[in-house]
Amino acid sequence: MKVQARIFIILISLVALLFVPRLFSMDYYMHMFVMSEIYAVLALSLALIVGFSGQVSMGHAAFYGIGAYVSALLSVNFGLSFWVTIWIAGFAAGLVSFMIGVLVLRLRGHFLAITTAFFGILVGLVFNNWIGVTNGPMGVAGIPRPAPLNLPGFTVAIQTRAHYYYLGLAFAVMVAFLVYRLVNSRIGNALIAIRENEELARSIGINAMAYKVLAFSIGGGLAGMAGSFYAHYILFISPVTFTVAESINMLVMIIFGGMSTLFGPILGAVFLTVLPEFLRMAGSLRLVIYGVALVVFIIWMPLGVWGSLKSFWLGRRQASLSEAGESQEHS
Amino acid sequence: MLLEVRNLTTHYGRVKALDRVSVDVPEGTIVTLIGANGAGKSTFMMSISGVIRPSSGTIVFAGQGIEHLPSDRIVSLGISQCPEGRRVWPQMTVVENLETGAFSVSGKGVVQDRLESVFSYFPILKERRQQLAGSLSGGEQQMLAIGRALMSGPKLLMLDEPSLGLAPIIVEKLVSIIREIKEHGTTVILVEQNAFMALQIADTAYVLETGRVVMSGKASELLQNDLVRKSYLGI
Ligand SMILES: Nc1ncnc2c1ncn2[C@@H]1O[C@H](COP(=O)(O)OP(=O)(O)O)[C@@H](O)[C@H]1O
Ligand SMILES: [Mg+2]
Repeated sequence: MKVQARIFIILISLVALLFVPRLFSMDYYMHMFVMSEIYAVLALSLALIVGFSGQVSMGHAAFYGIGAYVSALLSVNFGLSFWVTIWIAGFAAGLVSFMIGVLVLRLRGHFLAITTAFFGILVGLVFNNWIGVTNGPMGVAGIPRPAPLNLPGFTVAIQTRAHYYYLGLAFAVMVAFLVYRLVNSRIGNALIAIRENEELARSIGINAMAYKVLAFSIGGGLAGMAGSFYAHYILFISPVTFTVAESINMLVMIIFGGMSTLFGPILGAVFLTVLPEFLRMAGSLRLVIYGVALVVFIIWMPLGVWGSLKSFWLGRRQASLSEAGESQEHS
Repeated sequence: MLLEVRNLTTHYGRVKALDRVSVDVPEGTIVTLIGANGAGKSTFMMSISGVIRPSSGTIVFAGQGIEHLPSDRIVSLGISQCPEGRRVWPQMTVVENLETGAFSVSGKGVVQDRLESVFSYFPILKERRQQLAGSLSGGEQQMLAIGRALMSGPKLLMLDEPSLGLAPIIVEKLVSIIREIKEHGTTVILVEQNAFMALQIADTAYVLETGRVVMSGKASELLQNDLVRKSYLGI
């Protein structure tokens, strides 16, 4: 019953999202929405690492960048199709995050945050200075659009922003579903157990390191796929997009929305992609408003918007349940 | 012998917390380690379970050396521990805590059977199954922690100071449950500061002082021993 209601709401929202390009035909808005989708994937993948496993990463943009560069360079230099390179990009970013994870996930708290930030800086240096391959600060231009998609019966070109919007929607929905399945599985239980108390988790037989590395690798791989999507959407990439500031931007999104929920990171991604654009009207006050709003959030809503709403609702439900007596079971 | 520990030495950095400790745990018995705060009791348990690496010595469990194995392997071999301080996952429900304890177990049927058997030891947990663990009383949280340790179906259950901070009447209850667990065939290592309680239910006992075994024997004999009576029982 409860699950059915949820599925119903999700389906209705998805159908509503399908009509967005009809309502907002301006390129400017559509661009914001496509970027929101990319950030939704990034935020979900980061939430898997920070929210569900409790490992603070300040280097997520590095994996985003690795995916973008791998995909762009493979298609520019070797003519590979986006439909192939997005997988290679995901795999490459996942492999690098696996190796980094093995090295750094022994660290905790600030040490981990700082080390991952350094890793982000290091990757930025590589993008800037390995000129023979990455073309340095000049970036990689002339990235081809995804080839037309051959679906049974008809062919869809990926040309307009609306096309990218639908492709991005499919991508974000698939990633959300994957993360949903993951956090509601045994693996998800293990991750939460580790986040809450790592030593306890180990003492009952959870191989904490293995699960942390797994979450970090999957998160990094998904960010790499988002990078590939970005590269073949903007058609140009350069190191300035994949900085530590961008990693912090992603962290802010999940803090804002609520990082140990699924809807929270999506909400944060959309809101913080759209909001700064609207704040442009406020001119130079924009960054001040933005900063103050964030501080307010972190202090008064540590669970994020969605997390706070959820715990408010759960709290009321728990209270009404205990009033109703002790003998109820859900599930 | 289910568990044979020989010359176990464990360090924290330079500090030696265990010094050549040897302990025998016969199958189907309750063995207790008693000692003052800081004697090394928790360190002993965590060295067995692989949460801390011993610096030297051997640990043989059911004929197999386990001192180099990671903690998840040790759990799947059949050693389970309930760490000090009633540690549960407060944000998870009672059932989720228990299911997480069965992490090394595969098969939904097995997990369901284990849940039922834990509920038969601790009926109160069944009543509270959907409650958040953080909302349980101290005694209930302790029972949940023990129940969670039982979920992996251990041959050897290690309990670290289960009676700490509990009202005497709850301790009584715990004592009878630990006896029951033993009667169902699980061997128990009980680490306690509450020497009186421990010596009453244990078969054999070891007294630990600053990382060394200073005395050992039948629990009933130690209960009569003058030194033990004076230092640990306050009689
Ligand atoms: N994490 C740790 N780091 C450093 N020293 C520790 C640590 N844990 C325990 N010790 C030291 O090891 C000794 C044994 O501690 P412990 O095993 O906790 O004793 P008990 O459980 O008998 O109270 C004590 O001297 C304690 O200070
Ligand atoms: Mg202790």
